[in-house]
Amino acid sequence: MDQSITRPILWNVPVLFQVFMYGMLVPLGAVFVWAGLRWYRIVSLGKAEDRFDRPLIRLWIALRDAVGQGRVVRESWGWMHYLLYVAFVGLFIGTTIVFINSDIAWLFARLGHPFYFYDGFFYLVFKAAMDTFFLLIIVGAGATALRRAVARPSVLAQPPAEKIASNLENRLGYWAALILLLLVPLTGLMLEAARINAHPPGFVEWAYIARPLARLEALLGAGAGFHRWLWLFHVVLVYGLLFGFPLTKLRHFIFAPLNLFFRNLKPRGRLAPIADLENAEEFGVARVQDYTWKQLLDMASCLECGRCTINCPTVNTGKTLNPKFVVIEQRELLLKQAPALVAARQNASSNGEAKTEPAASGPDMITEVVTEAAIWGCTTCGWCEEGCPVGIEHIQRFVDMRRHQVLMEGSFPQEAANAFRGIENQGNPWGLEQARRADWAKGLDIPVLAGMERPQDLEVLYWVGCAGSYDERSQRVSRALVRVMQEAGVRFAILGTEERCTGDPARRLGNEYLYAMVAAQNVETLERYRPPRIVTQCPHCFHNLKNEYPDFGGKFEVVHEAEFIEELIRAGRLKPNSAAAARRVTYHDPCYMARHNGRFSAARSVLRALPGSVVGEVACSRERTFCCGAGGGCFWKEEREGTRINQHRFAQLCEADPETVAVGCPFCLTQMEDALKARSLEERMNVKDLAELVADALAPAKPSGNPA
Amino acid sequence: MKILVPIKRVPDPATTIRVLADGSGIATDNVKWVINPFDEIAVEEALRVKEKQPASEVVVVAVGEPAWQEQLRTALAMGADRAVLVRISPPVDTGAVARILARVAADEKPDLIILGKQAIDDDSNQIGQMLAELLGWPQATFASKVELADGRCTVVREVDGGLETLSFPLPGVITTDLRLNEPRYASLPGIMKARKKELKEIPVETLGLNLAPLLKVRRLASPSKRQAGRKVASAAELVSLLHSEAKVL
Repeated sequence: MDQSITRPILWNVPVLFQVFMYGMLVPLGAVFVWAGLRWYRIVSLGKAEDRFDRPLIRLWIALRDAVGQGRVVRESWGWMHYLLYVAFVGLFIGTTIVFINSDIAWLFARLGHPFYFYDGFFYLVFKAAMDTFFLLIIVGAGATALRRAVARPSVLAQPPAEKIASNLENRLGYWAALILLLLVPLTGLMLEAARINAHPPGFVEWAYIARPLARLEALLGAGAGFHRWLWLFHVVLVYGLLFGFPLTKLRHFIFAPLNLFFRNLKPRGRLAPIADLENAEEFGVARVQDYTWKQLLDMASCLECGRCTINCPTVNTGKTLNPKFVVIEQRELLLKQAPALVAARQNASSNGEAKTEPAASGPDMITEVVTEAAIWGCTTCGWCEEGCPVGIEHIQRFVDMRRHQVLMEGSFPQEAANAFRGIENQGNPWGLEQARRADWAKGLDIPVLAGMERPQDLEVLYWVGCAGSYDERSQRVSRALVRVMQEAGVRFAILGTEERCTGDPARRLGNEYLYAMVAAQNVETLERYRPPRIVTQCPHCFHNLKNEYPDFGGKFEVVHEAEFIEELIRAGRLKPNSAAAARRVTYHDPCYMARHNGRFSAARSVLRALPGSVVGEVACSRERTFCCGAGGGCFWKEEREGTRINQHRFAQLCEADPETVAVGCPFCLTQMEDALKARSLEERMNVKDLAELVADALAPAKPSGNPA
Repeated sequence: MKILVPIKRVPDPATTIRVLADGSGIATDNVKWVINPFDEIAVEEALRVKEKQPASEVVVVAVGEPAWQEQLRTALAMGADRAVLVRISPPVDTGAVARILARVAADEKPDLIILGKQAIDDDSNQIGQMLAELLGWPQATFASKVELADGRCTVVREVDGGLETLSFPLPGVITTDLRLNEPRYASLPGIMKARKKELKEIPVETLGLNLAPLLKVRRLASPSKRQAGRKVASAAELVSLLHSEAKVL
């Protein structure tokens, strides 16, 4: 290689400046260690939780979503961060290369093994690459600054000032970091330009950004003195940025991959059971330190990007709950209380005592910091977790607080008590009579599992659910699904009056005790019959039976009606060939299928299989679906604040100009029909369950006798 | 302040009651049993008094079979301090229940007795009134508001077309109306604690009372089924049917 093509390292830099540059590494390292220890102690305040299983999958997720920015680029504006990220990593690697060449190689040269490589063609490519990174970082940081200062999207909103007043980081962090991210590459380019002017080499065209800048500096007469002081300024700025990494939200460079590594690997929306419910003395979470360490790590990892709010049903309808605000407010509380908690723990362990908590001080987390309106607002739709680029788990944090309110305080919206009593006494949240659970099936010739002949022939157990059993509108869906299964010759049965609520509303509303009771009862019933498969029309039943009952000793194969019908069509057992159902249709994905279980294609292929139906899509569909407002037990309580979630969602669905809104959930059905009626659109549109649409597309029941 | 709250075990209001073929009683298979909702309101009211006057004691009492423990435990889980079950086998008439409760009250010496205005199973609406008479205490029935101050009790009653306010010196008997309060939902620690609270069982024989029934239930019958309505073609037909068949015109 041509060793003349290079540049002198540290040209024109006085020794004192050099000493400063190297010397500052010591306090920087110390601050890194201090901040690391501090966060380690804070996060360790949380309760134990195993997040070390399946390390390879965890590593892959961290690589894909942090190193690969997999989740960042999902939103259109993610490119800004992507530019910053790529450029910053590039510049960091570049600086490291120069450091290795000048300092490490220098050491080795003294030992007689020189390996200088910062020259020749490598140097030229390196120059061009660094100039590109400088450009990218300026574009990225500039665009980000414009977004924050001019566009000011609502996702960037902050909690009320008094709630975060103590946090300098919150007020200065972004701007300090952004300004430094702009100034560091700018001054870097200017330094390069000054060097070019001082040593005009023949290869300057490779530094395609710095070269025009060099001309400008030459015109302005900037010389070696300018370069020297600019160099110092640049180094000071660089250190400003570097100190920002441990001290501001720039810490996400380590917390984001860490949080993604430890993220929940179980199906989203699956709640953690309370260990040893019978003997525990505290239930749920009332104080920050009652959370697990991962939940505290979540708080530490939040960057306040606000993606959790984009499709949040409460944020979009003017309600108190804002998942981002809650994380910020909880983190504020954690940081405020952490010093005393950490000190108490260290005292306790040095005295060899059991861990004791200091007496309660400061505001009450649930009622004063997060507020009850917020904790009861959550519909557990899961958007916040879908949207979060760093894998923060919001739902469990809310349910943990609900658990405390219900199980410890007995304080919750009054209407929820009716649902609890109904589930407890009659096995359904309406409190309608258990003995009438199978009344809808009268005259339909459906075998009940308990009295079934040849139970070994059973193909699927049809788990009807409370809505399908008791709600008049959903009973029509049950009958349609029965017709579909009978038409396809499916050997199915129902549990009849042995079926009870899965307990879903109780669990989402925080009544884990009631949930554990009904779950145990249902598992016992199902274990008695061991059905080869269970089909549900309700996504909530599906989710509970499939994802949550394993924690209560029941492992079952469960399918939702959409997938089951798709299977029947694909296997040729079901031939929807009547154009009676021809219409423009759009599918409203239920959260508990699309988002919590990642299933949205079956429903669409069923709709497409219906003769004459035209399937239109809206922007918020599939995993970006918008909640109907009924999830998380919210169906069982009043929606007191803001505008109505179901109407917000219905307006979105109208974008596709459908004649029929297709749903796959009895609660979505009620919510969308209510919204339809509220807009008086019954003449022009209707809401139908998938099973009803399929039943409509079946040829009318054949009259007996030979066809003519 | 010591408050005695008699409660009754009744079928869940959502249950469809089926009368046995011989009319001797109701079918009890698949029936979910609960505290009589009016008695639950009585328990809640007693607990609210206790919240204001923490030195109070709330004693729940039931007159029935061992299975009634379940409802007593529920009341304990809500927050009552202890429970008494006077064990007796059915049938028991209202007069016997009132005499047993009067005896329990004589032993417990409460300052106040609060109970539901009626049980939703037989709707007899007698126990509170009989109990007050047997004890010679003042009574305020159908209470929609209760206030205690200076050894007196002020009760707002829901009467036809309005409200009546009564005041009486303690001890006394109050029966609760539907709008008095919304009963609480037992917290989990409450449920756990209830398991360890005292539940004393007293065989009725040991009380030495004359329980000869004053009345006897002879027969139960289901209400006749409602006939389906009929659609008429015109207003004229409706008028003529109202005249000829319904005979209301």
